[in-house]
Amino acid sequence: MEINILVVDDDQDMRMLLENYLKKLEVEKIHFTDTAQKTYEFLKLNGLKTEPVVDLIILDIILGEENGIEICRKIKRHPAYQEVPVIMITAQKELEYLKEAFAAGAMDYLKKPIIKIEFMARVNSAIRLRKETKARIEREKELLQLSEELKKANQKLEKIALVDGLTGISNRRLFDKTIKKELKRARRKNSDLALIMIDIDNFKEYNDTYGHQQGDQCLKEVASVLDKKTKRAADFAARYGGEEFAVILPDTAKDGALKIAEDIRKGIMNLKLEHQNSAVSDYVTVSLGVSSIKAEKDVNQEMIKTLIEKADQALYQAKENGKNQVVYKSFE
Amino acid sequence: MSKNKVYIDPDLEFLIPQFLENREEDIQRLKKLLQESEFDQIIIIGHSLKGSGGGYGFDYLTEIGSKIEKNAEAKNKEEIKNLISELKNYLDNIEIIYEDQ
Repeated sequence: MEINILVVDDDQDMRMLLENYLKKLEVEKIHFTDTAQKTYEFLKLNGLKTEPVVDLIILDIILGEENGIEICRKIKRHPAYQEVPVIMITAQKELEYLKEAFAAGAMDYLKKPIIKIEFMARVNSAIRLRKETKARIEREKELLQLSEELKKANQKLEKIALVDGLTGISNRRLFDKTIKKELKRARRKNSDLALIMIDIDNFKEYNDTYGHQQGDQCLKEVASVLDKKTKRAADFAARYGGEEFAVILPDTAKDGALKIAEDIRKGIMNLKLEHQNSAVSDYVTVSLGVSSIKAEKDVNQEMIKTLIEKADQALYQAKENGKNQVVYKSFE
Repeated sequence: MSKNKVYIDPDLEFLIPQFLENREEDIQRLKKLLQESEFDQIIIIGHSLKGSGGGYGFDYLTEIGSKIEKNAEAKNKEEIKNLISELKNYLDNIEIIYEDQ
């Protein structure tokens, strides 16, 4: 760890003496200034940077007509230097100023004339303190960065946990959350809510004929149609499981839901995905079951279950009726 | 003539010629400042001498620096004049011995 030191002293002989001693310590660079102004400029006290220019400041308490205590106070007021130790150097007569010096933020003081052993020992302990402080600041930074990364990773995980890996649309877990949330909202706003359950016709035959990779591709294309047909912000499409999908339409009653369901059915046909072994068409088709509800009671698990059941029954009916069609079943 | 023996840390040996040269300059400046009665400047030189002298091992310089500072505060011209020649006399008869204490 590199340690840089600033010596603020207007006496050339003192500067030379201190430099000679400091060179013997584990110090990277020794800088000198001899006036308050030059010191402020060197330390970049006017800047907003939070990285200090040096790690230790040795400051004469009297610089000609300038006051070292005032310099110390100014340095210490800057956020970058709050943890940088300042050692004041003072002549015997100036001991009365020491109280002020400590109040201004100095951590230690040395009396003139400088005694080598004392100087080295005190500077060394200041350097040790600074090294520990730097190591701590470094650890804090690392921790902060780690927690930031963890947060990002968590957000990513959260997203992964709610998205269907194959099709990229929402998964069953998010569907369960969303249907509950939207039902509650419908209850609050006293509005309608529609649910469409969608199943690909003869999907087993499709897989048997074209293989599972092509089957996956088919699922992706169907999902992308659902994604496109649920354009309003609150509309929601999810992969419910296997070849089954679900669409939640807030603020939508029977007629609106049937229209969108029909739109989806046509959209799938328009994909013109070849399906030689379909019972109903040369292309991939879907059957859709629609139900809708006006939530007049408080939302409970039973209500959610029933809505899904009704849509499922409608879907079953659509299959029974010959597939590639939309069937509605009312909630009541 | 008996020399003023001063024992100095060998670590500082290379700094001593410059240090002594600076003291010669001090003497010239002090003489000039005294003529001009610039006591504030004399105080600063006395103060510096007091501060650095002992640090190098010249305890006598710290002592005399302190005296110069005090007498300049009191604007005591005659005494300062004596101190300057005392300082010059001291420096002219100095014998430095580099030795670990």
